[in-house]
Amino acid sequence: MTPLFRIEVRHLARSPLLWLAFALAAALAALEMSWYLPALAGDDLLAYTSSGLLLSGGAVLAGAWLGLRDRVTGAADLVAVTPTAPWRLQRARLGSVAVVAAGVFTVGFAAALAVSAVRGGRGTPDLRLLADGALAVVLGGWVGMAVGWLTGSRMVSVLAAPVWVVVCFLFMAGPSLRGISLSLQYLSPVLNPQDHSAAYGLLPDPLWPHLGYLLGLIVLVGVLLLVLASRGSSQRVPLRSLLVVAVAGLVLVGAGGARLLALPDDLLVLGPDRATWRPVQGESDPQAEALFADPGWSFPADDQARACAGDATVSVCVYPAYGQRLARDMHAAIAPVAGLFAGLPGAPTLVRMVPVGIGSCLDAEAQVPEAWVREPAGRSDQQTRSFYRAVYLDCALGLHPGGSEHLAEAGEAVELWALLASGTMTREALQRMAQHAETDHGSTAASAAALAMAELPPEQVRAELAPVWTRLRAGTLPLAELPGQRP
Amino acid sequence: MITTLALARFRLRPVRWGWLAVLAAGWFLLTELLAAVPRDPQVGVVVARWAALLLGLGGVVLAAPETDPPREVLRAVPVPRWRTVALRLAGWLLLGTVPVLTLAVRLDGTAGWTAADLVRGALPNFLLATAAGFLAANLTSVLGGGAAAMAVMVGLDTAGRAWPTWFPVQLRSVPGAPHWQASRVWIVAVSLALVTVALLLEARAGLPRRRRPTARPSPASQARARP
Repeated sequence: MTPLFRIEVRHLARSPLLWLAFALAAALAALEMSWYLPALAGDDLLAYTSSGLLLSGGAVLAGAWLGLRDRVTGAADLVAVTPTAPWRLQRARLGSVAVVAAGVFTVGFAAALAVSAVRGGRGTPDLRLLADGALAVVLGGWVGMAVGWLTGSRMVSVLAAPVWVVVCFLFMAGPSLRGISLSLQYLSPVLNPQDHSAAYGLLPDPLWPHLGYLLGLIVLVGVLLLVLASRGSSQRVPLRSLLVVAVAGLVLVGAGGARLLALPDDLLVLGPDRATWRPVQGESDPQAEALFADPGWSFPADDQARACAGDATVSVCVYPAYGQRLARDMHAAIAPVAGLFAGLPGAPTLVRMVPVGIGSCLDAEAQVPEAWVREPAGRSDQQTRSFYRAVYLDCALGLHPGGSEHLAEAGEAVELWALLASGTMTREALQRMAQHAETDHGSTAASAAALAMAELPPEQVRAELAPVWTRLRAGTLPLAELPGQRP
Repeated sequence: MITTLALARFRLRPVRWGWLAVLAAGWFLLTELLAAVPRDPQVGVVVARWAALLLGLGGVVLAAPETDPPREVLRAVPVPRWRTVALRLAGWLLLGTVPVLTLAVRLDGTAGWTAADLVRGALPNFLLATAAGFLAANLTSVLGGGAAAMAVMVGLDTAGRAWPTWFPVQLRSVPGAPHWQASRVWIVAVSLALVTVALLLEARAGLPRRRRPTARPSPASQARARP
């Protein structure tokens, strides 16, 4: 048994089919990770989703080749007359596929985490994702073996891999299926969780039931292959033990599958207390949208954003998984404009990362959703810094961050003045805007007003803004009453 | 005329055309069914376009060594074997194009895609997968060719996502996107290049090997020439 197992492991470890899939999965994972800020508690999920599906497809091909090998090489007759029982041979092969497939996924997962750590990712990776991905790849390999063994067709074996990936993909797209309210997406061998927070994990968390479900499926496929291998042979597989194992597999699949189907599509985290988390089935929850639209709502203090950077004017706190470097970068972008509004009522003194999908401003605290910060895909560094400043300025000038309202003209003028006075926008750029209103930053009049304000020292502008600040934030202040405007 | 027909039959016969016809018909039925499942019609179009890539994998059996076991014997006959595989490729392209076109007509208007757009979106994908599988299977086997063709697809898709502005082959491009027309042309061009390479390799493999002339006569022949 052991030498046979070792020989099969050595064969499979050299399988170009598996390593081809590994190379593609590594490229895809690298691409996905390059789009996100590094965080070990987050990149683990990217490594799992981007490489799990491809490696699983590669394992189907490698397993199918193993299932076909004896027939293709003409060794089937020779194998049939060896004293080793066919089911023992099959067991060795199943074991080798399991070891190699799980090993390849582990190598990919570990490499992705190492890259993330080198890029500055922090936090604790969820090792259940490693176990789940490894089981999914093993399942792919065993399904491939079953296809190759049962069909004996090279063409069917080739088609099995993409069909496997398509089936997984269709399960992943479960929530958008017509007329079905069950959470079918969790029945896919490889999960594709939509919501994840570095502080709160997967929302909802399907991993424990999914592990049981996958383990059950693997057991059932393994039992099927062993029974098929012993068919027609005088050396029968111990049926009683296999029956017990098969029943255990069925129980795992049934229990895990039932728990997965009962999970909500989404879980809305409304506070640190789990009792406040609200399940969402379907695409949107009107109650949640109404709550987010309420300017009086903000995410409660949860003591999760503990990586902070700041000065006397403003502090920025993010989840430790993103590292203090992110907090310092955000603070460096925000500090120049924050200094201009220091001490004015409503101007934020704290910018805090929250797990919900919408920002809020309350009690001098600007809340920035984790997802907005985590995904800088397609944004340049300059755009990212502008985004951080916009979160602060929206709060300071009385806007609901991410909301659909726009600043009044006076608010636009003050925003442009702040960008100019903090050195983040040049006078020439603002003059061009004043002449042409070439961007959606503000109207021509607001640009001209900002230029007039910039003629005065910043301290004077701040002092003159203080008496009209409340009206400015309420959007009722006319442009003519801003500092530096001629009657 | 009879000889030509007989030759064509001889060239086509090793490929299981019945099996491929079942594959094409089954592909059409299954894809039409799956494209109607998602609530978002756009997802249905995505399914149809990716399914066209999947259908292209059928091209791996045309030139794979397993299809013609006595390959070396076939290469030694006076009629070049590249014509055989070219004829099979033409047959498969005809067979595979029919369900793609039919599906495009059936899905006309889905998510704003006209039948012409669907043809432009799916047919080059089918051609690319066929060409990649055709070349790779000619060099390796059915399984190796299929795996290589899939790897090419995933690799091109990943590259297209990594460099959306300049990488010419954009498998996910949609009508109205800046690279829509150009990417379709590039996909067809790459496919034709792959097919040409495959046929050239086959043509070179079929040439009789010439013995390299030796600079000096061998000692054995000299010995025989001596009186």
